[in-house]
Amino acid sequence: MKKYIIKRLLVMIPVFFGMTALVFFLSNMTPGSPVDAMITPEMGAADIAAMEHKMGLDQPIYVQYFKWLGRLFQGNLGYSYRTSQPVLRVISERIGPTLMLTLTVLVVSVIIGVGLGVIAACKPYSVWDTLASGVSFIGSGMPGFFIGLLFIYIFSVKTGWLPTGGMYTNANTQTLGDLIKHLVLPVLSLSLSSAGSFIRQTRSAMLEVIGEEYVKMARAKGMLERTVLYVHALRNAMLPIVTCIGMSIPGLVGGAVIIEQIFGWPGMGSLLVLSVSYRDYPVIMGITMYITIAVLVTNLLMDLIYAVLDPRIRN
Amino acid sequence: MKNTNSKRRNVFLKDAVGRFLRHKVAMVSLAILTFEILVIVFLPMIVKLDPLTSNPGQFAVGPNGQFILGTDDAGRDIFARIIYGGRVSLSVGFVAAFISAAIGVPLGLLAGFYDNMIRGIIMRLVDIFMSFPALVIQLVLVTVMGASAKSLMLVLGFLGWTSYTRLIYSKVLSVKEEVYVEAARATGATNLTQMVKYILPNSLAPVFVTFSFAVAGNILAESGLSFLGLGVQLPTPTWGNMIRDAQTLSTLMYRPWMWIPAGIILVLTVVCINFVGDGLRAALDPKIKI
Repeated sequence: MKKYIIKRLLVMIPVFFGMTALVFFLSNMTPGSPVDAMITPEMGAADIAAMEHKMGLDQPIYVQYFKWLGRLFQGNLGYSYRTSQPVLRVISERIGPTLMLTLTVLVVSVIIGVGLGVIAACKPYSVWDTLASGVSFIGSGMPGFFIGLLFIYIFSVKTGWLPTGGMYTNANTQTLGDLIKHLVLPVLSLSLSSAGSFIRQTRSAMLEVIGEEYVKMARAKGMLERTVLYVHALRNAMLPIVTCIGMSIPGLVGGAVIIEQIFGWPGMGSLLVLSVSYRDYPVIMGITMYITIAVLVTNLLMDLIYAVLDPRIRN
Repeated sequence: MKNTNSKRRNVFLKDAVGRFLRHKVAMVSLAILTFEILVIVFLPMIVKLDPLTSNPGQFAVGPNGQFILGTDDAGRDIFARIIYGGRVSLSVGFVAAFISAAIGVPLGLLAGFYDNMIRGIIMRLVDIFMSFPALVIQLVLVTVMGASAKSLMLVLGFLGWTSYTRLIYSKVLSVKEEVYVEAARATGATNLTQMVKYILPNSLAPVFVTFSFAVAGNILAESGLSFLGLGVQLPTPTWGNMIRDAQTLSTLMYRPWMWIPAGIILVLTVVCINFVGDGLRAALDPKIKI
């Protein structure tokens, strides 16, 4: 097991360097320099050059990359071109809300997806099965932002049940109830998109497992149908489901960018969109790096869960 | 020998086509898609539609006799914009899916055929590309290349190759063990001949399934980026940037005709393409019951 974890960790290193380098070079190829946004009419060419020098923009691009990487390991991500605040501070304010949103979505979509998938597999071609495939097709065909807008239109604008966006109604009085109210719509819109693939995966994995000898055996022993399904069948069907959940995480993070934008959720996604429009490279780099690390760590966790579920792959 | 082989393939193909034609949902979806594509391509040639000019004094009017779906804030005909927007959205979807296939299929073929460093490098690249949120790279890349339909096709195309590679790779692994490939190898066929003439044609069928899902995925990605204002730029219409109008709360609340029809067409298109993909998968894999 230890060897397996070390192997997985070693694989993460080239991924990390590849990703940071790719995004660093890409964002520096963007036309226009961040200095352009700060030029005032009184500035001459010398002032502009001095400013570029101050920000290190006059050096070759690979030097900029390694300097950035070196500072990164000291916990220094540079300063935002837009607000002049340290990138670390700008981003750390946004991590909490994004984590809250994506983790809730992950839990909700797994519950909806696996639950409906199991029911659909137990009673194939029933009403439940039709409902499950309906949800899954709507979920995978409807972009999160359109679901989100429809939800706002129906549940906030028309009925007034839920708030249209933000995290709290009043920043000074932060109550849990208020937070949950604000979470419902973004979480549901994002969950529907990812639940679709979970439903399909769970249904087909369960159908496959239900035909196996050991499930027939468990039934023949006179076990409760519930025990047979959830203990014997589901545990063995979990392998492809876990893979599917793991593979959905990058998409989930991408979807969160758009959903945060619609619901004015103060997370990293809306910050990323804002930073891209300002060409705020240090912040773009910082966010990309955080997302890379988060996705890598989740992938590792998924691999470990996989290894726990299936003793065969530990070796 | 070659004759029986091709005859057997024809039987399989005939079966597959039969199974596809019996897949009701896929057939209905295909009919809707065909109708939609015909309308999008030919309607502007028959009726005069103008998606770009604003009509003075007709800003943000609801559906009426002159404009069946109303006009937007700039007084442009929503119906015409949906039709022209469909041209952009669909062509981005298809072209990008072609680019991905052109990259992904050869790489998958190489990775499946060679059991050495080539496979290691290609499959590791696949891991890297798949472990990262595509939307984030798309955002940065589209900004670098300038937001336009052309750069969206390139960006989505160059980032979407991994699913083809994984698919072809696993297919090639089993196909290359087949007797006819072994026979070709025994008669001295070069690696290239084996790959192109024997393995590729027999591994290609599932690519059509991936292709249809890729088109749907690309249309969604294009609309998402255009919705954020980082994809196709106004005044060129796409379904995504039409829905973007609803980010203004007053449009969202009082002028649903500006964004709901575009959204419905978008969802309908993507769902239909997915159903066709599903039908293809069921048709090509006799083990799946319809």
